[in-house]
Amino acid sequence: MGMVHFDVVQPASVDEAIASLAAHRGEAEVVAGGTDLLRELRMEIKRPRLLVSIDRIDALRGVEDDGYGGLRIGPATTMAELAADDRIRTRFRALAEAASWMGSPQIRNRATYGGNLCNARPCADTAPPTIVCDGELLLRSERGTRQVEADAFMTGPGQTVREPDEICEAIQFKALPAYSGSAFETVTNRKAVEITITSASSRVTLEAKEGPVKEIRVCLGSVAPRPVRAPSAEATLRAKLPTDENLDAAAAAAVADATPIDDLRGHASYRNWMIEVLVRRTLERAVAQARGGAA
Amino acid sequence: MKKLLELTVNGVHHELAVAPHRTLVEVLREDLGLTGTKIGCGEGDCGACTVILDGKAVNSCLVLALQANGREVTTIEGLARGDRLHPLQQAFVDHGAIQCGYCTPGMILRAHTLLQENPDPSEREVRRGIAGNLCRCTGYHKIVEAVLDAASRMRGREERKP
Repeated sequence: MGMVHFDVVQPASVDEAIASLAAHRGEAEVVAGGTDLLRELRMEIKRPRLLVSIDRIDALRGVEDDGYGGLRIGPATTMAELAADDRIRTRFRALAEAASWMGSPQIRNRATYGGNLCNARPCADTAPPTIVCDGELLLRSERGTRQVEADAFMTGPGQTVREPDEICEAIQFKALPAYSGSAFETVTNRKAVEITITSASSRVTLEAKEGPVKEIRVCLGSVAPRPVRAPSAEATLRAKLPTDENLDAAAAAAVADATPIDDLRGHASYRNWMIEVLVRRTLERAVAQARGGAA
Repeated sequence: MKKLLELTVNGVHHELAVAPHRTLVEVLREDLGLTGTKIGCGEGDCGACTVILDGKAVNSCLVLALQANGREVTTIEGLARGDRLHPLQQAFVDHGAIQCGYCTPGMILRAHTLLQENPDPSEREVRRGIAGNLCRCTGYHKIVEAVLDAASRMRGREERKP
């Protein structure tokens, strides 16, 4: 393995960071934890002339309550920090679950939330949970700030709507309504340091504790070039009571919404089978959390 | 062009000029001569390069040296007190948890932070805790025994403190 030669700047503020990106547009990469970027630099897949390291910018790190039950999360927040945050575990559990398993303990101490989303691998584990919890990304450049819904952010493998001179400044979540729950599950060959074969994230909001489903989001990972919603599953369960029968039907319907490929981690047929299993499990756990008993 | 890097390694403050593309593991090994930290895969998959950075176990092959500026690093060389091995090191020796020794520095440093986070782990928690450290020789069993034994010895020491 080689290594690309580049310069590194470590700006102390977001303003400095976006100025660097603007000045070197197209030739600079943002680096936070670098757990995927360093690999790509070693293999010379990416060849930037400059790395803008955001690891010194305190404003980009941490989890803040917005005062209304929602959260604002800095992109340089590590997976370990996400996994340990009680507010994320209770209010947006799917995100905490995704962050708590990926990579290894060492990777989780460096890999960041913004990095996972902006790197945009089809297997990016925090993307589907962000989508089902209706997260929004704030993108900032010298040209201004804009908000992008998580579901519109990733467009393909390694592709997002982020322009090269933009930084993801925060990922925001509004509070979910009462009687909401979410869950994330993945299947992999090994228990750690493994890429997701198939993942499912579900979020359910009930009308009332024993009431029917008011809102539902199901999002699948690693079964398409980007995370995909499962509209068939959602339509099957919306406005219905979350009985075993209805959850079974929703899980079965999810299979039609994805187009997985055969690759060295699994055949498409295996992924289709897993979609049904993981959607079923995450729906059940999301409903249990929505009813107030964590599962 | 090289940039100034200041970091504290095993309690010793260093000032170095490093090229921006250098990684922490390279600087530790080549510039500071601390070759206890090993390069296994170079891509963050094996954990052989694990060091402790500001109290957290990280893969030093994935940390740019300049990102460690102003921070504290502990390598395997920083664990023993002179000739006195750290209880984890002693336990690895006592239990035969070292064969070729290549995974050992990273394994011990990760076990060290694991026990700081959780001084009384179950076997399952130890196994999950070292899931980022691969060993090709031992099959892990002796390593897990050693970590559990060291944890017990260290808890005993804590309990005996006045």
